[in-house]
Parts: sequence; C-alpha cells; structure tokens
Amino acid sequence: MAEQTSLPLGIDHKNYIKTLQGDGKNLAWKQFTDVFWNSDALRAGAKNEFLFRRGFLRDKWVLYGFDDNDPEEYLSDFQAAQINQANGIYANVLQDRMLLNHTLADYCVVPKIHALRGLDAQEVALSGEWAAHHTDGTGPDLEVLIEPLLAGARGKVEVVNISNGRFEGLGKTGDMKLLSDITRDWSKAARLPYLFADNLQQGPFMTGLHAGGQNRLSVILTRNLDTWDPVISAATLMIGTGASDGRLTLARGGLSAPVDLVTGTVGAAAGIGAEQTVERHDTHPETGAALRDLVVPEWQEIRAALQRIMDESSYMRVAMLDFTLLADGRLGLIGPSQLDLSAVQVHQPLLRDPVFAETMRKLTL
Amino acid sequence: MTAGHDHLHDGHHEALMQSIQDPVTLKHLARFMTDFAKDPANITDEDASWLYAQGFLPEKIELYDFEKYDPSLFLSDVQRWMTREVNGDYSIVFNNKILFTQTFRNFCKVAPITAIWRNGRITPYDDVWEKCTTGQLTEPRKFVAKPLGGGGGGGVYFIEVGARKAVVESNEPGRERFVLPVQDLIKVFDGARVPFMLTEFIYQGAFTKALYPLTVNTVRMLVVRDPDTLLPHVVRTVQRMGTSSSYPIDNFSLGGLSAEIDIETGVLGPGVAAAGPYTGKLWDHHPNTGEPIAGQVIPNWQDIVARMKNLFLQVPYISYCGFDLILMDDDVVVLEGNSFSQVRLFQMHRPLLPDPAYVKVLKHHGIYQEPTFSEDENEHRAEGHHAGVAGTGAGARS
Amino acid sequence: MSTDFVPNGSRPAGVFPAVPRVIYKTKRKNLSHEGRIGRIETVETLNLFRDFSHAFNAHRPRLDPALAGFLHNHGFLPDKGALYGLAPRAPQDPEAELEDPSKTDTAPPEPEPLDPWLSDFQAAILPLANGRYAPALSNRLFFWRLYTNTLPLVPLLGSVEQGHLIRRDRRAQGTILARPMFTSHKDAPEWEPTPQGGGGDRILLDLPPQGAVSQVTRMLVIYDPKTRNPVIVSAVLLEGALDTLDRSGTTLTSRRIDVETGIAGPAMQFTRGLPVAPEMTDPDTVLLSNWWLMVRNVTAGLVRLPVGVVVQIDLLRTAEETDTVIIDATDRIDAAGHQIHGPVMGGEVAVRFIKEFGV
Repeated sequence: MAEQTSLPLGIDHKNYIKTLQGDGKNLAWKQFTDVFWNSDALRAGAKNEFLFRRGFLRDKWVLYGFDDNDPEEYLSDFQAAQINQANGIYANVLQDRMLLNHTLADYCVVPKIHALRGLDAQEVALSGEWAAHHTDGTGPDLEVLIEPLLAGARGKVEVVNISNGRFEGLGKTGDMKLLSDITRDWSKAARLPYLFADNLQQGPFMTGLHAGGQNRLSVILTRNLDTWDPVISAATLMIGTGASDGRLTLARGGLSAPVDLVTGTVGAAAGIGAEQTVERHDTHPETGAALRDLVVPEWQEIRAALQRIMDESSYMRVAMLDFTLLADGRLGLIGPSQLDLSAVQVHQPLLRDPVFAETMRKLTL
Repeated sequence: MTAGHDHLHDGHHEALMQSIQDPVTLKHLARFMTDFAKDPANITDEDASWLYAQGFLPEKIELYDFEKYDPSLFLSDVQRWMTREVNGDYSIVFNNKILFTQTFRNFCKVAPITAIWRNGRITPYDDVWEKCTTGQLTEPRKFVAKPLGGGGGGGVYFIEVGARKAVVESNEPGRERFVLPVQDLIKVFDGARVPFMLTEFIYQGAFTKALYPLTVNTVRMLVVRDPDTLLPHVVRTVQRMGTSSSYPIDNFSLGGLSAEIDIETGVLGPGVAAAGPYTGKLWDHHPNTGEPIAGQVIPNWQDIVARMKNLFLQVPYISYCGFDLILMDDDVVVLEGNSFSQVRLFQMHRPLLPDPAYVKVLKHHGIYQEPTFSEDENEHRAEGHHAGVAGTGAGARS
Repeated sequence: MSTDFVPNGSRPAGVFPAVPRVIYKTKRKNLSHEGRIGRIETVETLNLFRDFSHAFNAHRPRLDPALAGFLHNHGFLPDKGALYGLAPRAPQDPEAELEDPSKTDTAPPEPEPLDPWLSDFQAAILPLANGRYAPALSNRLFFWRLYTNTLPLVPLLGSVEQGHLIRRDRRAQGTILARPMFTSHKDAPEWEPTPQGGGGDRILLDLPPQGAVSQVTRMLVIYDPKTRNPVIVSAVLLEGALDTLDRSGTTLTSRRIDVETGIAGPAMQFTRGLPVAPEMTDPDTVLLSNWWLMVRNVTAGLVRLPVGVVVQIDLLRTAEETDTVIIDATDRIDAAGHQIHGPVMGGEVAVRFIKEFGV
C-alpha cells in the first residue's frame, strides 16, 4: 500500500486544463464539456465556472466538500475519464470483457463464457453446454448474463435462465433460436457485439451487505512507475439500495464504503441524501445491516491476488476492476470497472496519495 | 492446381496497389518500397518493373514458382504487410508475450513464465527462479530467455541451470557460449536494453527431434476466422527444421527448412530453404542429418489440428494468426502467435490464394481489391481469354 | 499578415509560429534520412514518398541493388550516387526479415555523414513546412501579385488561364518568359521530368534583354528559427538556356557562390538526372559585382513580407549590370544545382531549421 503523507501533493487542475494538448485530450475535453453543461444534478450555481475550469462535474462541489477541501487533492472527472487511456495500446485488455476474462483467469474466478454474438456475424458457441442447449437441449441449467462485449458500451444487460434448450428471461420464454434472434436484433440496433457468460453468484458476505442485487468490490490498481511495483490505490464496496436498482453509483442511490487496504476493515458508507448532501451510514439505511467495521473475509488473500495481477501484468499502468466475493471468499470477476470515482473520493481524495499522484503526473493525466 | 482460381480476378494485385489511399496502408506500402529498394536479388529491369507494380519483393522471383503457378494466386508482399491490420488493436495479444501467456494458457499448453527481467530487476512468476539461484535444483533444468517484445529469433538465450553453474548459449555475437555461477544468473541480462522473459525450455517430441536434433523444430500454422460464422479455418501448415546454417534455432530467414504438411493427412512434403546454403533445391532428406522428410507422417496430426481449431475458436478477438507449435510426444505447445505471419515459407511450396476461404477473409479486411476495367479493356481481356490465355491474364508475366 | 511585420529585421512573435512547427506527429528524436522515412505518416507525405519511389524505380538502367537500397531508403534519387559521390557505409543486411519491426529495439542510429545532404525526398516535403504561406509559393500569379512591390520581381505581362490570354497593361520590353502558373513537386528539378513548355496555365514575364545563354543566380533561403531572420544557406550561379534550366536531361554548369564574399567558384558541369559525376569546366573564380545588392534586395524584401520558411529565388542581372531582378520564387528546391558542390544542410542554421520543422 502507498505510504500516506499529509503533504499536499495534488495537481493544479486549472493549469492542467489550460495546457491540454493533442487530439485525444481535446476530444475528451469536448466530451467533458458536453456532459458538464447537460448535467443538472446538484447545480453549484456560481461555482460552475470554478468546477468547469478544473474539469470537475457540477455535483462534485457538494460531494467533495469544496467549501472546505482542496480540489488539488482530488482526481477530476476529466482525468478519471481518461484513466484507461494511460494503458496505451493495452487499453483493450480493460475494455474487452472477453480478453479481460481470459487475462485474469489465473488470478481470480472468472465467469465461464458460453457464446459471442459478433458484430454482423452469427452467434458462435464457445462452450459445450451452450452448444448442447442449441442442438438437443441436453446441457446443464445455466444462469447467463448477456451484456455488451465492450465495457462502457450502452447496450442491454440482461440475465436469462437456460434449461433443457429453452431460456427464461427478458419477460418471456423460448427456445435457443429465439434468444439468438433477440440478441441479433439488439446487436444490429446498437451496433454492438454481445457476450454470454455465467452470472457469478455473490457469497454470503456480499449478500449480507444488501440482498437485493449484486454488490461489488471496486479496486483501483496502479504501479510505481519508477520501481514498477504494483500498488493497490483504493478498494471500495459498492452497495445497493432499493433505489439503486442494480446501478451502483452514488447518483443513482447506491452506497459506497471504503475498505482499509491493510486490514480489510470496512468504513462508514456514504450515499447522497434527499437534500443532495452526502450522508454517512454505519449501517445500511434500509435494512439496518451493519456495514462499518465489517472485515472483508480472506482480505489478505484478496490483496495478494490483486497485487499479483499487477505484478504479472507489467504492461498495465492503471487498472480499475469490479469483483464480487464468492461463497468461498475468492474474488469473482465482474469486469472492467464502471466506477464513478466520486464513490472513492467521497471518502478520501485520490491525489493525497503521493504514489498515485506521481503516477498520474507521469501518465500526464 | 488452379482449383478455386475462378474466384480470383486477374490484375487484382495492381488494382490493390493503385487503390491504396489510407495512411495506414500507405505506410505499409512505404515499408514495401524501402524493402524493395534494399532487396539484394539480381533481377532484370523488366522483372523489377513487373514485381514493383504487383507488390512483390525482388527475392520472390527466385523463391516463388511464377512459371508453374499464376502470379495472381500468390499473396503479395504488400498484402502480407496489410494482414498486420486484421487483428487491429488486438495484436497486443501476440506482441506482448506476457499477455500471450496469460490469455492462451487457458486453452492450450504454453511455455510457463519463470521470471521477467526489467531494468536490472527480476520479477519471479513462481519459486523456480529462487530455486535456480540458490542451488536448490534437484536436477538440471533448461530455460529460454527472449526479449519480452522480441521476434524474429534475435537475442535468444538458452540457459541450462545445474546445482552450481549455468551454461548459456545464444545467437548473440560474442556471447555464443558462457558459464555463470547460479547465484549470478541475472548477469545473463547484463547490458540488455529491453525487458527479457525467462520461460521453461520445451523439449520437443521424438518426431520433430529426429528431423534435426540440434534445434527445436516448430510447426507454423496459419489460421484465419470466417467473418460470418466466426469459425476457424486452417489455411496452411509447414514443418520448420533447423539446419547447420540456422543453428541454434529453426529460423527460416536464417537458412532453416520449411516442408508443407498436408492438412488432412499430416504427411510432409519436401523441405525448401529461402536463405543460406540449402536454397534452390527440394530436400526429400534433411541436408545435415539425412533424415527423411518427404512422406513422413506427423503423429496425431488430426488431433493437433482439432485442438488448434478449438483454441482459435476460443479467442474471437483474433482473426488472423500464424501459430508456432512445438510438437511433444503426447501434447502440443503453442510457442507464440504472429499477427502477420510471413508467407514465403508457405508460398515457396504453392500459392495461398487458391483457397477461397482465405480470400474471403482477405476481402473482408480490404486486403484484396477487385480490379475495375474500362469497356475497352474488358473487351480486350475477353478476347484474350477466348484466345486461350486464361490463367495468365493481366497479372501474369509475359 | 503584413501588419505584424517590423521592418528592422526583428520579427514579432505571432508571425513565425503561424507556420506548423513540425510536419510530423511523432517525436523529432531521429532526424536522420532513414529516420525521416520511417516517420512519415500523413497521407500527404506518404503519397510524396510513393511518388518518390515510383520515380526512383522508373530509372533505367537500374542501379546495383546495394547502392539502390542505400539511396532509395535515404530519400535520394538514383543519379545522386554518382552526382554527389554517395555510397553505402557498410554492406546491408539482406537476410533480416523480422516478423514485426515494432518488436525490435529501435534506438536512434548514430548520426551518419549523409545527414548534411538535402535528400530529394526531403526537398519534396520541404514545402509542407511553409504552412499557410504555401499557396503563395505554389501559385506564381498569386506570388507576383502579392510581392511585386516588396521584392524586385521582373514585370508580369499577363497570364494564360484555361487557354485564354489575360494581358496586363504593359508592353514587353525584353524577352517574354512563360512559366507554369502552379508549382507542384513534379516541377522540382530533382523530380521526374516534366516538360516546361506543355499545356496548362502560365504566367508571362517580361525578361530584361539578354543573350541566349543566361546566368541565373539561385539562392536557397531558409528562416533561422533562432533569430527569425531569412538566411541564405546556399547560392549558385547557373549557366544554361533559361527555359530548359530545370528540365531533366539538361546539361548546365553551376558555380558555388561564397555567400560571405560573393565570389563564384569554379564551374562544374552536370546533366540533370544522369548518374554521372560533375566535371569541372572552368577552374577560375568570378566575383559577382552586384552580389550585395542581390542579398540586400532579397533579404530586405523577405523581412518585410514573409513568404514562409523555405524558398528558392532565381535572380537575373539586367543589362545595366548593376541591377538585378527576380525571375522566379518557388518552394521546389533544386537540390542538385546547389549540392554538386557539397551538402547544404550541415550549417548551424540549417540544422536548427531541420530540428524545428522536422524535415
């Protein structure tokens, strides 16, 4: 873990934004401005310009408490959006769910991939079970997650149950051909390839946080670019609520709770309250389940596995990954993280960590 | 031999050369042009003009049988460079050996990584490095060290580690053979400017060992993916063999041999060489060992092909690959994949384009250009074909 | 753009940076000829390289493969081996065919003695460095209209546009010289032969009275990125028939002019496009009496109204002997005319220029 220090080691965001160079950065800035001016959540009034010029979205004034806190210690939304680009030509490893699944198979439990619906191509069966359901319905029962192959793509995400060559889900039942036709239409409509893989079942620890959906352990992995040593920069539990409906972001009503990187102890969870202010919870606000001071089971093993991912994947500079915790305590890969960094920084600004700040600086983020 | 020829268009090579406009392909064309200029083959002015217009390097006059086969049936050098774009950003899976190992070990046997050396530091991947350098090995073990991004066989070290000493052999001039105490094993990488990967040496099976025992003799298998069905198609396979010229590796560019393997039966054809002392002849027997080549049958061949097809099926992000395989007695090890495999080691036996499934992939990726002709030209060409010159056409040499 | 101009020779910030500083996207760490060719990546430069390569490969008889590879891959046309006395330093490595060059260690090579030479490919991409000034240097009519009052240009009589003669209000005083209105890389003397007298748009210039054989003073002027002033890096006195001076196959003589003194050295004869070493036809030197006038006229004009960062200017002496007029200004550089006396890009200013613009 990175050594902590109280020295301010942040980034002069205003100057950074002023000096952006290159087509990629300019495009990213255009996208940021679009999002910024289209957003109306937590309007910051006269503080708009302050945030805009520093690359923070409007909701961050309240979330990060800029009345009291120093923006230089926080990774901006503009920077966060570009983190994966720091991996250069290897960005695909963290973009393509299938490639990531293959890459991490030796370090954690990865969902079994059953089929792929390629862009403008037929569905191809990649597991014997899938092929068996298609041919004579003899495959074992499956709970399959269907989602776009590429992380961040805005397509359908659905779970179907498959038994005896028939599926149930999407509000209907039918044979495998019907499922194939439906996903072909999805694929054509959104110009997206789709992946069919096992839907991993979270273990009792994760279910205990909130039983209504899949909770996540989101991690940010970086490395010290001088020594090339891996660093776990943050680990955060994303916990569902009745309002979040499976979309685990603070803005959607989800909760985030920090995990102490050394001990695995869970801190108080944060969420956005009715008054659009940050609220802290020691217990789940709906179920009353204890959150604060829980200890993530098998944390040392989890930590070692995360370290090993970065240690052995020396081509990666930064990785943001989502996991679930299985019944046996092992990490189960959900995929590339769609983590909104506010869920991390609402607890602790990322750039206060000198190693992380230095890494970001070296990656010119 | 012109099976499947009907789908090809005479003059497609020139049409492709003239159609190139996007910067990526123009860059490949520039690469072809610089390669063309430095090709030492002595050719006539007429041949030079023809080859240049078609996109073939001068060496191909000697290497390819343009008399026996219609030149339009050969994949040109420009096309071969363009195959580099087929896998797009996913070429990283082959270009980075760590990523290659992480991905492919899920579906096949690969050479396990022992350690990575980078900037003077070793990152061990298991406890083998520790055992080697502390003299804890109970029996000698052999390793291969290669540049992490490496290719083409350069800078390869073969390291045999015993209880006290390590014997190192390499193809680096001045470092052909040296001995180190095991605790100094890291010194193998002294002076290296790029990261190195240390993997366990794979012992080849009896069949390929017999061909030429001093090198690991690998199979190169070209596999492509049908763009509609996403299913694999094995285009061509050859058995490579080291020679005294290519030692200590079986590199074809350094004088090794290539013998075509019949994809259906696993029967080897004669060996050919593209460089070194064994060029210009078909070798039914290995020139150094006298071991028979032509007619030999690779054991368990159909099983190997089936395994490779299944492997390729599992990695749909890859559409084009020349795999290098080490055949063991009861298994096959995938040594590496090449995103834009050389093709001369295939086409020296016979051209690639008679395979319609292969051409379909090329067309899908814009590597095959159908020529457009004016009405006059069409008329002229039709007359030519009626007159019995079909099969030569605009692309053929007069 | 002239409003930015300060006539005392110092250039305000704002004029110079408008020109693209680097014509490549990649880093400028390897400025050797081979590095330059390795780095080309825009459609424009790649097409120029394709044209260069086509021109190279059309050359007959073909060169010995080792020399051909050396010249082509450093951007020189086949005639330059003999004309400049260029030869490979060490045998090429023909066997090296890597699966993937990106997999190899690509440390920049040692600087080689070729670097001071302006290669033909380099000359072809030089105009790209002129950025927004390029239109003025690629259209002679435009240039004449823009710079008539700034530079001592020979008077413009009119133009031929799409077959129509468009006269200006002036009668010819001397000989009429017709020049193509548009320059292109094919007009460059080093490039493939393009007949000067063919169809297409022309401008008509009124040359001062002169004999059949002319002495043209040709200057290669570049801007010094450090001082931001125009600097004459090479000047030659060319002797030959005016209308065929730049045509491939033309035999002409060139004397190198010492820029500091105005002394023109021995006359060297060569034939454009022929791979034959130049021959000295007159060992004597000649003092150009009006050299300083030429220098002053050209540099003062270029300081007043910038034309870009690289330009070649042709001057002709008038009958009065003491006066000179400019008969052409172009960004297509006559590399051979300058370099049969030795390389022109080795000086401090030229090196700074190459580093600045990546060419």
